[in-house]
Amino acid sequence: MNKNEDDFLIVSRRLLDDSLEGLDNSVLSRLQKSRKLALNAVVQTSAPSTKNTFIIPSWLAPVSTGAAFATITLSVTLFWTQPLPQKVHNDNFMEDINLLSQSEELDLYQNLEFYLWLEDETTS
Amino acid sequence: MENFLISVEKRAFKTAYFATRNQEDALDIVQDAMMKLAQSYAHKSADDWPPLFHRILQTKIFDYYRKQKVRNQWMRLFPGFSEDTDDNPIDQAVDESRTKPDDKLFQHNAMEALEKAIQNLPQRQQQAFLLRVWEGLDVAETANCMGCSQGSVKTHYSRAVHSLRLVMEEYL
Repeated sequence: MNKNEDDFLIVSRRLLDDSLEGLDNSVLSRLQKSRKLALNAVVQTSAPSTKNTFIIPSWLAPVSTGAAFATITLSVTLFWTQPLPQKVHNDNFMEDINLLSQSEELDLYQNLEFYLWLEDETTS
Repeated sequence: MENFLISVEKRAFKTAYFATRNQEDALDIVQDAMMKLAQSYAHKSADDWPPLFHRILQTKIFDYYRKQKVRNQWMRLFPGFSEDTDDNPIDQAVDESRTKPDDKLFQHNAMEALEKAIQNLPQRQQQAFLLRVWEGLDVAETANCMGCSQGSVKTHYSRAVHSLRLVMEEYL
């Protein structure tokens, strides 16, 4: 670095430093506000949280690990040993679909209690 | 933490202002950088704060540039939505009639010339110059802050110094 460049850098640094003296009050006040916000954030993040805090004792750690492992093993075993659901019989399946797709009269459902009673009466 | 923020906030503002040329945007960037440092790195050693803060600040400035780029693309598509700016071309024109009647005015003019010249530098040159000269970071630290190689820092820095020297010659 030659002397000219050195001078240039020194002058530049000095000018830049001097330029800070002329900052508006509005800028300074906003910077102060930003700083306070940041410092509040430090306090909030460093303060221990009081809610939802559950500390597991160190002696319980192996137990909880074992329990988690057992649960996973049991889940996997049950999943593989459980028989698959019975295959729906095709005929029944079609009947169910037919039944579900029928559009009955609304009166039927409104008078359902009456029809049930009538059926009881006729059988007895 | 408070003393550290006091020590860097004004320079951070000027750095952001050189990059954005907008006071409010620069203040927002500095506030975001302070918040990020406080929330994520307050637990770190105080020696780690300066490089971390500069890195965060440069990242925020970079984010600002990206947002501006996207915004400008949309503005080109919908020119009717462009905002009125306070940029007066007469204010921005370089005053050729600068004289040296006294030291104070001379210094004021020199400062103004330097600030304008820094603002007119490409972003990476601007970063390299300010981090090296004003923040006093070495090449490795600057490269870390800028997220580039040390070779790139040297190139950006030397180009910046060359451009600024040409502008500032009459004030040296």
